Amino acid sequence: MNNLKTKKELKKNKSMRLASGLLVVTLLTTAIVSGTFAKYTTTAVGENTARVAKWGVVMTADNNIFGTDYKDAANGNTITTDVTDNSISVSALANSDKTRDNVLAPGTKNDTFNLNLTGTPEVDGVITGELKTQNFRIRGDKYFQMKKTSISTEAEYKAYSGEYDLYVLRDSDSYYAKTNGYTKDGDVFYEAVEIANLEKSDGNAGPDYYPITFKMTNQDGTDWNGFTNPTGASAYQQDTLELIANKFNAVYKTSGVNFESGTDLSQAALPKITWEWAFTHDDSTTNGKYDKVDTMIGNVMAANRGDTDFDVNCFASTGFNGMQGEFMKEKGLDGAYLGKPFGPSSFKVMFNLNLTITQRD
Amino acid sequence: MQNRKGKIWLLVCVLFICVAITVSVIGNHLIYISQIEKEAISLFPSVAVESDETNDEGGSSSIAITNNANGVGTQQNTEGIETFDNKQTWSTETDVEIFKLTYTNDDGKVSVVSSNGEEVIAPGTENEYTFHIKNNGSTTVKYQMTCEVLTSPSDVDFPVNIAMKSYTGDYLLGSDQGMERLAKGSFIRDEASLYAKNYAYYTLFWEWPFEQGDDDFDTYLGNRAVDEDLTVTVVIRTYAWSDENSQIADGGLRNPNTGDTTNVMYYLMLGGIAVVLVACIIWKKKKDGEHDEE
Repeated sequence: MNNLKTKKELKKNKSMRLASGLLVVTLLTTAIVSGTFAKYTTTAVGENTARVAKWGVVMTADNNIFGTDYKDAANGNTITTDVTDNSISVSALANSDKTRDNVLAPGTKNDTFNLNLTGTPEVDGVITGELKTQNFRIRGDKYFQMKKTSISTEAEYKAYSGEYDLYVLRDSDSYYAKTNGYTKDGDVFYEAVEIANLEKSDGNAGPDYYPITFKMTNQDGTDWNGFTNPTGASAYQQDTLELIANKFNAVYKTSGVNFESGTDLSQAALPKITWEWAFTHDDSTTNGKYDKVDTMIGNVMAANRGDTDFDVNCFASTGFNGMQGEFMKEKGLDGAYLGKPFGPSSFKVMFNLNLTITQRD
Repeated sequence: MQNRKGKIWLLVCVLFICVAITVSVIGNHLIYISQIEKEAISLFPSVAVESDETNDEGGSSSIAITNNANGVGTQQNTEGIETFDNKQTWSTETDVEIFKLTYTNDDGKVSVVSSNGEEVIAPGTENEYTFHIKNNGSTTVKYQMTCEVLTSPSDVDFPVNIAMKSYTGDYLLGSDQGMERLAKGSFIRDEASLYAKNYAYYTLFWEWPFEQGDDDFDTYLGNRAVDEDLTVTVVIRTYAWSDENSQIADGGLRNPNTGDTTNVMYYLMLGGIAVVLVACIIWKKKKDGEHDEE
């Protein structure tokens, strides 16, 4: 009985195994059938990536061209922004609105105004710009200051030497004239006292005087783009500001300076611009005449201190026998200056530099 | 016990029959497909085969291939479906030249140059890229072409325009009058049939206008690009499959059967009959066994 039972169990196991095996085979063949019925397909992918090309051009300027405070000669006469600096020798006074204007004075200068350009753009570009300026000058003539005289009698009038030295003007007059005789009764006599003389020795007008001289060079002081800066008397006897502006604009305004992609713009030869109001002029023939003009300029500005809209007003005048010119009447006749126009009609210097770096198509 | 044994054997027989059916079905099919057929569409480009075939029956959805056809380039006439441009045949991940390393201006002078070997875009740059889809087989196929535009970072609205024109002369995006903004490139899609020995082609256009009234934004992007990669990626996918509905294709050749038309029901019925017979035999045996016991 046990043998029979064992035989039956063995047979059952075999048949179970066979059934299981066939089940597995069935499942496998089913999978193959499903795969066989699949379609043929083809897939292709084309892809490309690009990044934005770099620009990264940065332009800066070290310091301002003019300042409100300047150090003394021992410290270079240069601009300082530290109002507590003990070496300050020139300092602008506050206006009525508490602002302070940039100032210029004999002995001041600035050689720290630097243009900096950085960046290596991946595109072609061009540097364009424009320099707009305004300078002032003193004509090469005589300059007088009117002083009230104490003349009260004809004798005193006639005692004045030099017919051309005495001019008469009444405050109510809109013109001036040399007297042809003695007239009293209300007339006030003013004497034109010479304070500066830029005429030549032959009495003809001398070269104009430009107190502020400008230079434009490479960073290392060499000539920039072939521009030679005037030196000596040539520097203050012509408008060097206009000279450098003309050269600057010829390079940057007319056509600009092109650069190619991949250029390191820090190597671009931007100009270095400096200026100076010489404390003395070492021309042995000047005999201090420019110093007197500088003093006159300073006194004119001082007489008008506090007037932020001050301009040197000049008007043409006729009737001055032997001397024609413009007469400056700002605060009244007494102390007024007589002479050729200081021209342009202000003691202001304007420096407006614009540089643009643009991609070229 | 006898009953259970019978059931097991019944199961064995049924399974055996199932296996027999599937083996016969597969066997027939495998014999058939193991033979090399001219009309079969290969999954991979095979050895070049010279072909002087032209197809004058090119349908309106594709262009017949002729020797030295314009735009075909130097492609080999390989079997199957090919997507290619004038420099290479696409695979499943192909770097194509939609963007460039350098660009020239209208005067023919190079004005934009990548500094590190990566394709770039910049104001004033533009390009067009043409690719072909060619059916080298002898039967009709269907294909689908899609485009996807990806940008990074996501906060940048790239001032780039895009358009695509098909071989029919129609624009899938944009028009002769102008292109569309870059993001719309992901809406480009086309689906058509390609008869045997025919090809289709598409041209992708893009531009970053030099003057579009927002120089400040262009400058902002150019400055931001100094420290960060601002990227545009264009992905074009082509997907082709056999046209099962085309019974008689060009040249009178039948479309290869990627499926099977075997009458499976015949075999199932046969199997069913076999199951019934087996069941009867077992029942008979069982009956005989019971009589013997009596």
